[in-house]
Amino acid sequence: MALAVHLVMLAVAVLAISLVSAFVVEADDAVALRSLPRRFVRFFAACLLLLAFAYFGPL
Amino acid sequence: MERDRTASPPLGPTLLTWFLPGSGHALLGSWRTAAIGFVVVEGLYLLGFLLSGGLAFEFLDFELRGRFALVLTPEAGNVGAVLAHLMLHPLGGPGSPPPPPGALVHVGGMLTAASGVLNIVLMAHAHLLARLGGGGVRAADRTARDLALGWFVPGLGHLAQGRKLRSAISFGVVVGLFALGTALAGGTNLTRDGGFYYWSGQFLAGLPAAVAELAAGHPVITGFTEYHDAGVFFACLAGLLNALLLIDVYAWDESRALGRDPVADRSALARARRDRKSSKKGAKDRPEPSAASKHLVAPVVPTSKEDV
Repeated sequence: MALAVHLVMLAVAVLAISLVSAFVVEADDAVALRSLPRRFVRFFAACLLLLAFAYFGPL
Repeated sequence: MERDRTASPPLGPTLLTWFLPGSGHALLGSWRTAAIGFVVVEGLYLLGFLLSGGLAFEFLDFELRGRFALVLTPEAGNVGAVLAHLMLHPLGGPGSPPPPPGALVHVGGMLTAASGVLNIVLMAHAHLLARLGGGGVRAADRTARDLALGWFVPGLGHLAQGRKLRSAISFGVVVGLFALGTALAGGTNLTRDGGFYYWSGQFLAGLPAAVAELAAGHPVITGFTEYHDAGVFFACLAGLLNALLLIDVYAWDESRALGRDPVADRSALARARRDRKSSKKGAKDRPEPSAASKHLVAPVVPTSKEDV
């Protein structure tokens, strides 16, 4: 349960950061919103990889 | 003689304003704005200093009190006042008493923080004025207004620019994150001693954060909720994202001030960045992109009289 809550919270933070970064890079709303899913997936996947490395990695 | 608007912007007035509000405008000959800026920004800081008794920074944990400990506070936007503050009231060492309970020290701290943010707005104004010359007063005023509005209420700067959808989304994201953070932290984020640096980020969310803090009455922390860490993180993230949204507000107004299409301008900037990345990845003998592409406004050379 705790893991699920943490994943949801991570997803919320990643979504917000991805949205604002899309707004900073693209001044056109439609273009920015269209790029959101790609940005979200890439950033979320990168965060999960980093977490997996921190959790299961050699350190 | 008309200044070349495509040249690198002059930093002098901006940096001067950082150290002494209004001095950059005085250098540019804009005496009225210099006087108003000085009185408002320094007056806010002085009022906050007097109300808090100079104790607003005493919420910082002892082990974090290094030479550059205050760089990450909103007050750092008015660095001259912070230096004067530290000369008059240096940070206490281990064993010095914590700030006394009561609202005044918190309200004073909010005023000194607001002074720092407003001085950043004044710096943006001085920067555009220096870049555009005497004919750019209205554009600089409009930019400063939009930035101040966007800080006070997230999304309001975009609304003033006529960007309604972006305004609504920005407001929803920033206020929603702040509300989520406050709920998760059980309100313990609504005071500067709940997390000095987290509070600094959260303060950038503007009026929603300030009003929530005043309404909660700066609660005394007796314990932490299960998700306190996540709560202060989300509240801080709300303010930091609002700061990024203010960069978007600034870039839009800057493009307009330079007589360019803001949407096309930003797309050109994104292309320039992509080109720079690909040129780094690719052959080394490719020419380096111009230094101007590092700025918010893309290195587009004006092609008509309207662009100048």
